[in-house]
Amino acid sequence: MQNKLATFLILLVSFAAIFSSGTYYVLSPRASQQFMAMGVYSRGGFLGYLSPATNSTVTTGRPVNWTISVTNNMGSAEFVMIIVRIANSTLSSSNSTTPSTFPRIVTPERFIGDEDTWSINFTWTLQSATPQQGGTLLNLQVEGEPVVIAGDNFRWIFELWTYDVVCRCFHYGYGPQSASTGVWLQVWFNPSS
Amino acid sequence: MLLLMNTDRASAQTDAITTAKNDLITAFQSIRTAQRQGASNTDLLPLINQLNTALQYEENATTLEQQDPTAADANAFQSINLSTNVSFQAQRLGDAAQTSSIRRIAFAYSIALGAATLAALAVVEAPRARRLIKKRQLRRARILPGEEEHAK
Repeated sequence: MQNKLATFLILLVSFAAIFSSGTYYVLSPRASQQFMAMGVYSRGGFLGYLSPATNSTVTTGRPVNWTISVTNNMGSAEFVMIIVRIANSTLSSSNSTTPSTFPRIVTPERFIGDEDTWSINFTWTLQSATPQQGGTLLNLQVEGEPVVIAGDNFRWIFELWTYDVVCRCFHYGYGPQSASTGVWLQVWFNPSS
Repeated sequence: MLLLMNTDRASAQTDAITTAKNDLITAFQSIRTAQRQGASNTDLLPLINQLNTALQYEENATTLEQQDPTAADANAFQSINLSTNVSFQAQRLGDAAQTSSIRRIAFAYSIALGAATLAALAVVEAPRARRLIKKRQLRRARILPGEEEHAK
């Protein structure tokens, strides 16, 4: 009788371990890669990508309408800011770890749910392009605000910044601030008067 | 005296806008906590939309701070109300999700433990069950004496 009880207890413990492991596996959330993505789309068919494109000529007075979209697949809601910068050849662009230092033009912010996408319109107009020594002087209208830039190799830089609840600040890219992944895009354009 | 009043007013606005900003972050953290507790994306989506509206009000308040202090105040308070409501709703959703999650886990492990007990019993009692079955089979089988068989 005692042998039987001992056998029963050993078996019970063994089976409990096996079935509990199975239950833990079933109940555990599936592993998935966390990421955030950003895209810039054009309704008018104009977009230059990573290098100056042939169809990237912008004529004065014609508004350019773009849509910036951000997708959140981080497994939690994110507080996101897009920093739009206008750039010329004087400074370097952003990279995977460091944001660019060109001036910020607009910085829209938004809360995005997990597995959700946020789309925002970005409208700008080249008001004038005046050739001058060392390049061109551009007068732009961006989201209703005037912007002036001189030089050459003009481009728009879009950077994704996310809010860090630990430092209570926005930081470049997504993920923990100490090991964040930078997300950025740049669109070149050739001003034409 | 007038200068003092103006300073007080400006300070009150800044306080309201700062509170609005802080409340937005508190609400955001509540949503994240609710998500960790198991609240679904579908349930949280309306709260995120509300939080974006609160953000819009806060941005309006910041823009209007210098031009129209009264409107800035009104926007800041709208933002605070919405953020507070989002925090409250998110906490409620989070608590409900956590309770339901604990119940589901407890139920799943009870089933696992029950199955383990049954399996252990089945193994321990298998020889006895086998003996019982054999006995029953023997009882059912008709045993005819050999002589009777030959006489036929």
